[in-house]
Amino acid sequence: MASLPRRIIKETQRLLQEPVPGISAVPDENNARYFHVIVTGPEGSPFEGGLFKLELFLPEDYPMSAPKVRFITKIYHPNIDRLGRICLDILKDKWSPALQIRTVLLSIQALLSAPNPDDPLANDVAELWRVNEAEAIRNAKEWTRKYAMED
Amino acid sequence: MEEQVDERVLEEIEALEAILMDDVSVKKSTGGTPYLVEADVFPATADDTDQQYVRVTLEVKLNPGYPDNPPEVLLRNPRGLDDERLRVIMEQIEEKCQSCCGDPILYDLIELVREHLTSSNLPACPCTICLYGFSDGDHFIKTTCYHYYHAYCLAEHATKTEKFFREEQEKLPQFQRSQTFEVLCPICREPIKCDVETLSKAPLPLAVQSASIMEPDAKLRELQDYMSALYIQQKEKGGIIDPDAADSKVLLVNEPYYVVIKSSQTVVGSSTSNSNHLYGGGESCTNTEGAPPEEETTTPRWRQRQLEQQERQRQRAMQQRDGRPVQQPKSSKPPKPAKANDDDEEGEGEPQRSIGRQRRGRGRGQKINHRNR
Repeated sequence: MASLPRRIIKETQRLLQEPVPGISAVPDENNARYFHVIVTGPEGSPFEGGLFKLELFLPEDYPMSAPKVRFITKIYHPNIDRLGRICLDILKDKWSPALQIRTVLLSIQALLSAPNPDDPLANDVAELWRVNEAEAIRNAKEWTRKYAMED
Repeated sequence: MEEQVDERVLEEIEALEAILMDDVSVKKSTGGTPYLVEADVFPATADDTDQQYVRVTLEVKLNPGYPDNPPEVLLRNPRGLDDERLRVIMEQIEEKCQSCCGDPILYDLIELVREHLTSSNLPACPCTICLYGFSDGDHFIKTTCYHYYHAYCLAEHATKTEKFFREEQEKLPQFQRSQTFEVLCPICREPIKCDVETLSKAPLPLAVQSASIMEPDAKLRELQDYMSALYIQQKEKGGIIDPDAADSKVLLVNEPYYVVIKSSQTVVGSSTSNSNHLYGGGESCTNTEGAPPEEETTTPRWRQRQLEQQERQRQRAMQQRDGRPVQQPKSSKPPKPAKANDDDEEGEGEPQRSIGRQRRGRGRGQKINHRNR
């Protein structure tokens, strides 16, 4: 049985010692390939003030294949569907082993700042985002307040 | 504005172009005054480019009044140089600029940088694939785009991407297939030439071999506890996505040995489509709140098989628990409607401090110690 790859250990240590601002990733106590993640909603976005939980899993051949990432906290975003799946090319065919957990999470945080309704994953959300952006943003803020803010 | 071209500058540029040829480029204004000099600097290796592992572009902006006023200098596109080295080079450049006012100094600056590169002609950056540095004795290569990888690491990357490429080609009809596979640089995605067969004979990088294992500390535990607390808080507010409320929340199961997740459930995942179900984010997903995904209404066959497997694993695991005082897990829950409340949390309740020594159940369907909250 192969032990945990050194790269995963190294990434984990760095994530804990030099965390990325606004992002926290902590390995599960039972499985070092499974990370509990919090991404804070970027300033100036409708997700500002929210703490969004995600789960991230490093597959067996990581870093040769992409981590699997999903939102756990409900979020109103045109590129994230109701199951929390994220539409992001680097998680699919544009994965490169030079990317890391931290860069992936930064990309996801950037996606929150720049919703792209023309490449939708959640069609109803994207549709509203296209036809009535103001209302879509109101919804996103409302979901953030309701589901993602700390008491 | 009348442009006064300083003779000293023109002479200097002319000499520079004669010496450096293609490695220097000079931008001139319409009046013929040079205002920007860019020089690609490499270590002195008697023109053996294969032995040049570092490089940098020196950009010198000639302000009006140069050489009586100091130029503005910038180091761009460094390769294989760490920040500390760049800082030292920059410091010396500043010094030189200040001390040589009135004399043309472009050539001196280039020489200064070249000396530094020659004395540190080993990539100081880590290999971006394994994140470990290059030690004496490591097999590593420099790509044509000046990025560095351990031969071992690049071989893994090349092998994996080629396999992926072939698999994708298989899915296409014959006329759409392309036969040309190119290994792309992991950093800049430029096509790179490499002989995978030779590369793959390289040994594991030395630093990787000797790296230490991580031990969880108090800070990590604290973070884990915080994560759990936040999860519970959001759960109470209905803010947690419930992807598969009909049965246990098997969230990540494409590992043959992977064991998780709900405190009452142990899943030794086979490579089922469940992971695609949750992570196949690339394809368009039209699910809306009003149209629940298929598995909330019907249980597909693969899911049934998985549930049966889980149950078997669970029973086996309980038998193997060798008298450890662990609470009996709840039995599998019956399917529930999508809104069913489930107060379990995702395996993040009871700390089981074992980062780096985990996965003891790997491959054998053994249960990782899950305790109910």
